Amino acid sequence: MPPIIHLVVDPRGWASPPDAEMLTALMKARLRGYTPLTVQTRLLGEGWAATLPYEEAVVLLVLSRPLAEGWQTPLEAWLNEQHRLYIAFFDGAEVADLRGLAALTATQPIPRAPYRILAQTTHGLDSALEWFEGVLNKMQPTFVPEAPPPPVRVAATRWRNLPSNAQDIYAYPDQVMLSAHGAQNYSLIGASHRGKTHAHHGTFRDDAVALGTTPSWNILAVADGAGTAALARVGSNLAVSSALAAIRESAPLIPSPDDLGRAIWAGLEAAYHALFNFATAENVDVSDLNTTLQLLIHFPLETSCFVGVVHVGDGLVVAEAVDGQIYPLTEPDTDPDDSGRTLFLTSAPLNQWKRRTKVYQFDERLSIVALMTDGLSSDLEPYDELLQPNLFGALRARVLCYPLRQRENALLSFISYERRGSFDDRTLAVLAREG
Amino acid sequence: MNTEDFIRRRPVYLLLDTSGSMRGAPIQAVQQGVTMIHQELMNNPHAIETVYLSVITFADNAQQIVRLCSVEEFKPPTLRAEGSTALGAAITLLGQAFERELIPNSEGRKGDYRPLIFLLTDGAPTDDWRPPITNFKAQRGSKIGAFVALGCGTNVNTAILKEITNDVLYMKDTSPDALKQFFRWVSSSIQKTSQRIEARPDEGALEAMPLPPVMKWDRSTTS
Repeated sequence: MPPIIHLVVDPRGWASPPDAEMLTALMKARLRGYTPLTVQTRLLGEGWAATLPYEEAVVLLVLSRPLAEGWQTPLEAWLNEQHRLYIAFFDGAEVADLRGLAALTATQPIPRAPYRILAQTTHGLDSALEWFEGVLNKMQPTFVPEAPPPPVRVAATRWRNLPSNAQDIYAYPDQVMLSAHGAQNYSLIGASHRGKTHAHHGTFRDDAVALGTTPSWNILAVADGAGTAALARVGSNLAVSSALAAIRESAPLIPSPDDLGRAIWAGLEAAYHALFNFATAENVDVSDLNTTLQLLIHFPLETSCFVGVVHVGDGLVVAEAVDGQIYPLTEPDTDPDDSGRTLFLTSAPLNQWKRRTKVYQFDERLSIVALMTDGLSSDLEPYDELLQPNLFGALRARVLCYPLRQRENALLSFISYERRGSFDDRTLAVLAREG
Repeated sequence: MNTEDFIRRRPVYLLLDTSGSMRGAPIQAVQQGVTMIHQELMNNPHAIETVYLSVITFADNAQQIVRLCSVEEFKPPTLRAEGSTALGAAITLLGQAFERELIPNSEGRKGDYRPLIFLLTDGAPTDDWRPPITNFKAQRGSKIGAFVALGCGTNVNTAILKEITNDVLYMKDTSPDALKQFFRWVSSSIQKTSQRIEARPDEGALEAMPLPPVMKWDRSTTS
C-alpha cells in the first residue's frame, strides 16, 4: 500500500481560515502523475499528535503558532519507518517547537529541515506544498501502488467432502453416533465427526468413541488416533473397544468404590496390550497405531457418586455437578512450549501410566460428564470461562432436551459446526442424568 | 458449541531485496513468485484458513508493503527495484511488525503459530545490519518457526546470511526460472506446514519440501 499523504494545518493566525477540501485538492493536483496517493487534510487541534494515521503515512505539519504542551511523547511513539513527518511554518510558530520537531525528524530516511513560509496566505501555503511535493518526489520510487486486479480473478478453493474408502480392510464409518440407557437413571450418548482435513482428502476419521454399562457403572471412552500414524483409526478403535470390554469383564456384580481403580487400570492395560498384540499380529510398527485414550467409569449412588478416570494424551474430561460446579477431571498432556504436541498410549512403558488412574468421590450427584478429543477441546478454549455456556448449557439446550434416540443425531449435529481454522476430527461422549 | 473464532494463524513474512541490482528480469521474477505463492495458497483450503502473509521489501530503506493479512485478503504488491540493500532496516521492521501483528500465547488462549520468514537477497547489506540482527535474535530468536535466507547470484554474502540464520540457501543462478523454483519451494513448504498443524503440530518446524536442483543448503561453517 502506498502511504497516505496527510496534511495537518494550524488554523490560527489566518485572515480567513484555510479550507481543508481546497488544500486536499491543491495537494492532489501537485501529485498528479505519481502513483495514486490518498490525500487527507485536517486542521490542527488538541491532541493532534496522538491522532496521526495508523496506516503508513507521510505527514506535512504546517504551524503558525506555538504548540500546546505534551506533543513530544505521542509524536515520538508514532514516528517510525512507516510514519514520516515534515514541517512547514509561518513566523508565528515557536522556535523551541521547531527545534524539537527538527530533532525528532532528523533521522528519517529523507530528512529535511522545517520549511519557512513567508506569508500566511493560501499562496504562501501553496509554496509549502510545492516544497513538500519535492520531498515526496524524492521518496516516490519507494511508493508501491496497489497491485492492479489480476486479469483472472483468483478464487479460493473450498473444502471438499469426499467419502473415505469403504472397501478398505480397516474401514471405519466417516461419522458415528451411539447411545445407551445407563445405570441409576443416567443416559450415555456419543458422536464422532470426521474433520475437514480428512473429508477434503477422503481419508479416514481417526477418532473413536465407545459407551458401555453394567448394572452399577456407566463407562465412556474416547480416543484420538495420531494424524501421522498410518493406522491411527485402528489404534483408537482398538483402544476404546478393548478398554470397554476389559472394564465390563472386571466389574463385580456388587462393586465397591475400591473396584473402580482396579477396573479403570484394567481398561487401560487391555487397550495398551491390544495395540501391541495387533502390531505383532499384523507385522506393523506399534507407532502406526498411535492414539490417545480417555477412559471414565461412573459409579452412581443414591446421593453421591464415584468416578474413575484415566487419560493419556490431550483432550478433556470434565464434569458438572447438580449444583452447577464444574470439575475438570484430567489435565491434558500438552507441551507448554508446543501446545500441539501430546503423548500416546504406547509412548511409554505401561507402568508409567499407573499414576494416571484416579478415583474421585463426589458428595453430590453429577448432572453431566463430558469426554472429548482435542478437536473439540481446542475449540472450547479458554476452558473455564466458556465451559458453562458453550458446553453444558448448550448440551442441555440442543441435545439433552430430546428423547434418547434423537439425542444421537442432535449430538452429532452439535459437534459438526463449521469453524475457520478448526480441521480436526471431533468426538464427544456425554453422560447425563435424567430428570 | 460456540463457534466464535479465535483462529491460530500461521504468519509468513517474505523479506524481499528490491535493491537496484534486482532491476529487470529478477524483480519481475520475484513479483511473479509472490503472485504464484498467493495463487497456490488460494488453492489450498488449509492455507486459506490459517496462513497469513506479509511482504517487507528493502532497498534504500525498508517498507512493509503488505501488512500481515489472510491469504484471501492478500493482494500481490507491485515491486520496483532501485537503490541499496538496507537489510538491517528490514530486520528492524520485521521485529516491529512482530510486535504489532503477532498474537502471543496467553492464559486460556493459544496464540499464533510461530512465524515463518523467507528472506531473498542478491547482495550484501549496505546498512549497519549487525545491531538489528543481534536485537532481533535476542528478542525473537526463540519464537520463530523458521527463518530461511536465500542468497542468490554471485555478489551475495552468505557469511552474513549465516549470521542471521542457520537456514541459508544458496542459488548461483538468478534467472527467472531459478527464482520461480525458489518461490515454488516456498509455496509448497508453507502449504505442507499449514496442513500438518493438527497432524504433527510442532509449532517450531517448517515442513521443508525437497530442494529443487538449482538451490542448495549452505551449511559450511562461518569464519
